[in-house]
Amino acid sequence: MLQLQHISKAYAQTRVLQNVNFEVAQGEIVCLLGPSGCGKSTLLRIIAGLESQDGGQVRLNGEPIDPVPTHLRGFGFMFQDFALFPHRTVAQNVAFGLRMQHLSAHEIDERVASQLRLVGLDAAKYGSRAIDQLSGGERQRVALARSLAPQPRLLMLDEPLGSLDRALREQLTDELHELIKRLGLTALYVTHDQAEAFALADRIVLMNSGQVAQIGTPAQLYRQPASLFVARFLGLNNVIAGRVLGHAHGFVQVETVLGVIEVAADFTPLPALGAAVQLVIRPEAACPCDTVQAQNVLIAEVTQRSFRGATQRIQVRHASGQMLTLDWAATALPNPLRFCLRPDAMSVM
Amino acid sequence: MTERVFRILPLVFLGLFYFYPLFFIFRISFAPKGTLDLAPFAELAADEYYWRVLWFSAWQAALSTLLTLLTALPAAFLFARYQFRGKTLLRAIANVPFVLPVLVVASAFSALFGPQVQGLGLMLLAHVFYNYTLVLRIVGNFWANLDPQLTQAASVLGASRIQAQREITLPLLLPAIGSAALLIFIFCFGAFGTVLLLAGPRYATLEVEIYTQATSFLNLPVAGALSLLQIVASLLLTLLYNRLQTRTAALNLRAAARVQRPLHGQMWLLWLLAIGVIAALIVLPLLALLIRAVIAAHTLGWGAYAALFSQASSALFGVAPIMAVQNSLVYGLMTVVVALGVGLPAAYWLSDKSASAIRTALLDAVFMLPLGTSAVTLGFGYIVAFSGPPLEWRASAWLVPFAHALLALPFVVRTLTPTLRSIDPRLREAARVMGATPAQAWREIDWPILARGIAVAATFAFAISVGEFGATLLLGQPDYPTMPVVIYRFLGQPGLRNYALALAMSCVLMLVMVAAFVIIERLRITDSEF
Repeated sequence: MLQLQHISKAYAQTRVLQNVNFEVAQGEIVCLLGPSGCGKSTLLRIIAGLESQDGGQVRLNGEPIDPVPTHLRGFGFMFQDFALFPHRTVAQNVAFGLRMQHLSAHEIDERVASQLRLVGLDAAKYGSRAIDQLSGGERQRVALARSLAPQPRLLMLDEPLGSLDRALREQLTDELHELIKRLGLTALYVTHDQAEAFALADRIVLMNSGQVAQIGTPAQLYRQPASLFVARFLGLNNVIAGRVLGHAHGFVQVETVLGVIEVAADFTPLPALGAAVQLVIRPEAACPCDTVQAQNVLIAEVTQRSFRGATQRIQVRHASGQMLTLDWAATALPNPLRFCLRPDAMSVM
Repeated sequence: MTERVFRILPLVFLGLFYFYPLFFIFRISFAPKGTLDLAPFAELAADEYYWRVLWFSAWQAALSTLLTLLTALPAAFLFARYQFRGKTLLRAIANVPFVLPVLVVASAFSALFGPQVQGLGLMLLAHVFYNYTLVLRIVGNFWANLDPQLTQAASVLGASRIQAQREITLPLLLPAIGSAALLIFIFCFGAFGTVLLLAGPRYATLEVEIYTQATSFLNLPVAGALSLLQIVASLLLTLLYNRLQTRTAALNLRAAARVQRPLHGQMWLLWLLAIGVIAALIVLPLLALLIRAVIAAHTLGWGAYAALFSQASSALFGVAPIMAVQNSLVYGLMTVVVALGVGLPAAYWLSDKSASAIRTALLDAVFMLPLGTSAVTLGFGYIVAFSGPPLEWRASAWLVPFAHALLALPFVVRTLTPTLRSIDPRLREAARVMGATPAQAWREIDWPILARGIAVAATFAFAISVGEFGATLLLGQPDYPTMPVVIYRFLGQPGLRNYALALAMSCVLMLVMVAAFVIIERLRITDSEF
């Protein structure tokens, strides 16, 4: 539905976006994820027509939309701090886009009420309220209702939960996901919070300093990070240099300071024999060794532990000096610890 | 105990130098002979002339306001939303008139258009000259803080550029525009010097009429009644202004990250317009003043300026005119001491966060009263209040700086209060917890933050005193003329020689004020109201 082709943008010598390419399909939720300053918000503003790119094209169903001014694009946009009009009531805010479409007063009233109901607000109770009487969560709902009211072809959300506290953010993330899917909307969602992106996205476009670092489903990104940056950004900090020794029985053998580690070969293309690779060990890879198939057995000294509820986050030091951060689900935690690394919780890149 | 004395001080000051004279104005207009007698008001109401004066005061103020808004709003937009070279300098130049005394402005415009030229247009021009920067500051600052995402949100929702401006920007700016307009209206409604010197004898505002009635006709009851009219009018306007101000502050939800873009496209036209207006309106008259003073000296010979130093040169004063510089400076310093002595406790009182909001609002309104009070009314009040027992201070030279301090009080308070409010009380508490005595806590925490505010407030007080004309003229003792009074006397005398002396003195006054202004601009920390 939406295609971005070779988008680039610079502000006074600083390159904000470099050759960004991706597509958004009809009915898909795509998250633009990345650290602050990576250019994701700028990209969103370019798609909305609030800024113009230096190079490349934005196409909608194949047609370039760059010459179309913002107000004729028919997109919805939810701003970071909501940008609710402070001099208008809740109902007037929601009605704004409908008025711009010259709907009749009667129609506007009905749509405002139904939109507010959609986001869980009672129009009779909230409609006449001033914006500064609303809580953070209520503002978020009003902003959502406002951007949905004109029935946009594409909904863009720029860190819409960024200013809310954590508990509320988690609740609203779920609600937002449910609503977007129920309405069958196509959405482009900008965030720097990977948990939010994982919860919402059909696909994630992970960005780093103006470039696309990796595109994929949340699971693909997590299980198969393509670069050190992606692994680090997703909180996968156990990255160890190694060399491919061989492929056999559905495993790839990688030689590392920890010894030879076997990784499940459930990805393509498999690295060539002898290739220098990075081994990514996800925290959940650690488990007690079962006697049946003892694989990747390691012994290490536990240097730190912190309680995380269902698991303990532990830090261990291998005899080689290599540190690993792991999640330990069993109650018993002997020290030194003998444990195994699950081959399906590791990847190479 | 000492704290209570400290707090009572501003109220005592206001009581003695504001309410006490006010009471005398009431007495002289309601009971000129000791018993209630509404004759002065009957005289006012019956005479069509006074209605015309009132009407003129109002419509010239309205027209001045409108002209100022039209001239300054495009520049306010430019300054708020765009970044360009020379912006700081341009803004500084635009701010200069705010501290320039009316006598300097009158001299400058007469230097530009010729000494004999007078008229309504000249006065209106002077009013635009004065208030241009108010629009730039009040509207411009508000505009710069307006979240640009709001118009962008409107745009995404389908509003064209013009619709977004009409639906979002304009309604949001309206309180700020209203507040600026009202302040300009208040200042112009109380116009005195500009009318007297630039509009000419055919025109009289309430202020000019009070002066004429009190000094030329010695009709004190009518002057008193007119003063009351002026006080009530400016009081109502000030109240309205304060309400608008609160609303403006409430609407300005947060100072969003200021987004200022480089100039592009047609915006260069706006830039050109702003530069043109500032150059023609502000720079040109002031340059003309300097050039005329030099030309006059060239014609007469520089020796003519020796007259400034000679007592014999002028029958107008009992002293050499140059003594006026010293008088002005001494008065200015006295004003600083008094205004800070009263204003600092007042500001502490207003910034007390534990006090009830109603009391703070009430006190704020009380301390703002002098802002709406005109200098002439004040001077007249002092004449009627302090001419006889129990407080016979009329002949004391120090009465003038006290009047100046009263006029400066709102500026001092409004400069210091935001600074004090910005000091997090937890900082003081932290200092106390770590073992500082209250005095040490004040020295270590308050003082470093407050020092700049005090310097700005002091400079304001100094500038107001040195430039003040109306009250000084009414109260002034012949032995202690100030610079504005000397310029006024010289301007009122025929002959190139007197004119040249007026110009020379104006130049000196202008330089003093510009120096004061540079200090204010250098030290200014927050975008305070003034």
